[in-house]
Amino acid sequence: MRVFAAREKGEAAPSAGKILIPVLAALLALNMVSLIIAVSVGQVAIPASLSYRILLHKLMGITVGDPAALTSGTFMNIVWDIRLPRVLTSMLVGAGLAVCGVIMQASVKNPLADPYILGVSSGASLGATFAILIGFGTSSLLSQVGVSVGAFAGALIASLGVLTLAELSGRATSVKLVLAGMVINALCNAFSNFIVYFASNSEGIKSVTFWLMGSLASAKWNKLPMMAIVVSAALLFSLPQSRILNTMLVGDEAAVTLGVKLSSFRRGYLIVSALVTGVIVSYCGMIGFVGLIVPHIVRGFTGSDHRKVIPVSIGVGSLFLVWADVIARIVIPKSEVPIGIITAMIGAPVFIYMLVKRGYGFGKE
Amino acid sequence: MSLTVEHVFINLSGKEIVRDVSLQVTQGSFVGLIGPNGSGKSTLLRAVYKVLPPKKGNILLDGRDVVQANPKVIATSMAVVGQFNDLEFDFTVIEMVMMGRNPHKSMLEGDSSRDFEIAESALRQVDLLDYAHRSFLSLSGGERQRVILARAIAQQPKLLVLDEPTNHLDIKFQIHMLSVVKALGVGVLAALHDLELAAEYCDYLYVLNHGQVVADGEPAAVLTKGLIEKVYGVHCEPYVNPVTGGFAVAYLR
Repeated sequence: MRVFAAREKGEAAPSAGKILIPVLAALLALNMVSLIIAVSVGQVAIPASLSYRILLHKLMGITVGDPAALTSGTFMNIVWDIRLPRVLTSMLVGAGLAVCGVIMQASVKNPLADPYILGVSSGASLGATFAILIGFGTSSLLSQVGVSVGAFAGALIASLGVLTLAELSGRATSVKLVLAGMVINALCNAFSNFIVYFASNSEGIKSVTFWLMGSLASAKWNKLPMMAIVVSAALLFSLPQSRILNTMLVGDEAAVTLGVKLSSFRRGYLIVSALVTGVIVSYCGMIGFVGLIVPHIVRGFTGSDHRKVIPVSIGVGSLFLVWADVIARIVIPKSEVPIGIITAMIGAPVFIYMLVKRGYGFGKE
Repeated sequence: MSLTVEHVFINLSGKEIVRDVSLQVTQGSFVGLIGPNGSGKSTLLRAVYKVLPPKKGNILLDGRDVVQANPKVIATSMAVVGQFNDLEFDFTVIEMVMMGRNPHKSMLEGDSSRDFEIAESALRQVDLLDYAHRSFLSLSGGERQRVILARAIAQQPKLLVLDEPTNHLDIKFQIHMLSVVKALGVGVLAALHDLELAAEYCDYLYVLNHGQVVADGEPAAVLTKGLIEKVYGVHCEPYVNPVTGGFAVAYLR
């Protein structure tokens, strides 16, 4: 009986659909505050009171207090040219990966899906390194597009590969999907590491560490537009899909009886997530577990209804990655930890918890 | 709204499961599909609700070809209570029932208070209104089945397809569920196991064996000693229930 009482308490939240707006407003406010803190902390500590004035001055032309103090010194450069593009990138990456996770989990009707675990990220990194190897990779916009296209192609091939492998002998179960993801992951990593190892930076290919563990260190203003366009388009695309995503969770047969033929939607959703993953990986390397844990944490509060899960995941994913990047920048003085290490340190235990505690996959379809 | 199945053949992995089946559900009638395990009842129903394409034959809903039609159009007039109620992700009961409103909604349309009224009234009909905010996965098999029935009712169908709907239900809710369905007054095509319940609720019965219709007609005419013994392979003795005056059957060893 106690279990039931606890359950009923827990379920009070999702029923109150009207609290969605305040929750989103709170997330937006938290994101703004986090942005100001994130541009303030780092190797050079800048008072938050100053950095928010710098942002106001630059963004809206509003000058609060002494204008000389704003423009003097290197603070403005650090805040505006170095940290702000990086924080904005982390927000886009976090929101994008979280929504990819939501869409992929619904598409394969499997709580263990995310771009990293299903090998889509490593497919993207193989595609990106290959594109750089054959001549793309300078900083011109055309070349950026080339690398992203390579990453997208890699991500798409990897996701199709995983699905085909998992469905080889009948229906794809959680275990088969994760195993297939592991295999594709290992294979793509081996090939991209091979390329990186032999190209040894001469072709503008970044280090193995960058591709395997991700980094936001190279975030610059000129790299933002491409990612901003792709990620925002994907977020806007995903918001009205809630009804179909909900139906996906009740399974293909039930979905048909509710008027939705899932197979075509599923294909479209996997292409969108491969596109977003591809673009993110080509700029930031592989950042693991964001797409897995953010949707799960969010569902813990909102329930499975995608009308709540998607917008809240966007806000939480963005917050999560901003703070993961802050930790990556400050945890070791005068040095930087690849952000993938931080997200994995947080994400892997959550993954284990889900496998063990909730019994996903093992012994159950 | 009437359903017509004409000379339908269905193959599953190369094996012919349903052979030349024709049947009809006329407006508002309660039609039962009975037969032993593996006789092709579920397979036939899955073709009716668009999950399996038949190899040959026509399935028509008011003259509209079900196989070719847009699933959304079909779902506004036909609802299904099937056997596929396993979830990996949890929903609340009311969220599950509200999904029944999907076929009536365009993609960007929100849920109106009218939709909630329909969903709540459906939950009231299956006696689960108090469960609206419970988690679906915390319910028992029988309660889940009733939630699925509520979802089908919320679809406001003119034809209801039931695939062994009383599985998992204790006798009280078997009777409850069939009575609720009967009271809807819509056309019903139901695969049923219990012959006495089938005789009581159905207006017309089709008996399936080895994928073929071996008998059809009003329950009293169909459920004879000879037919039951032949199709189910059990010795039995049908009799008139002295309490209800309805059909009853004793199985003998």
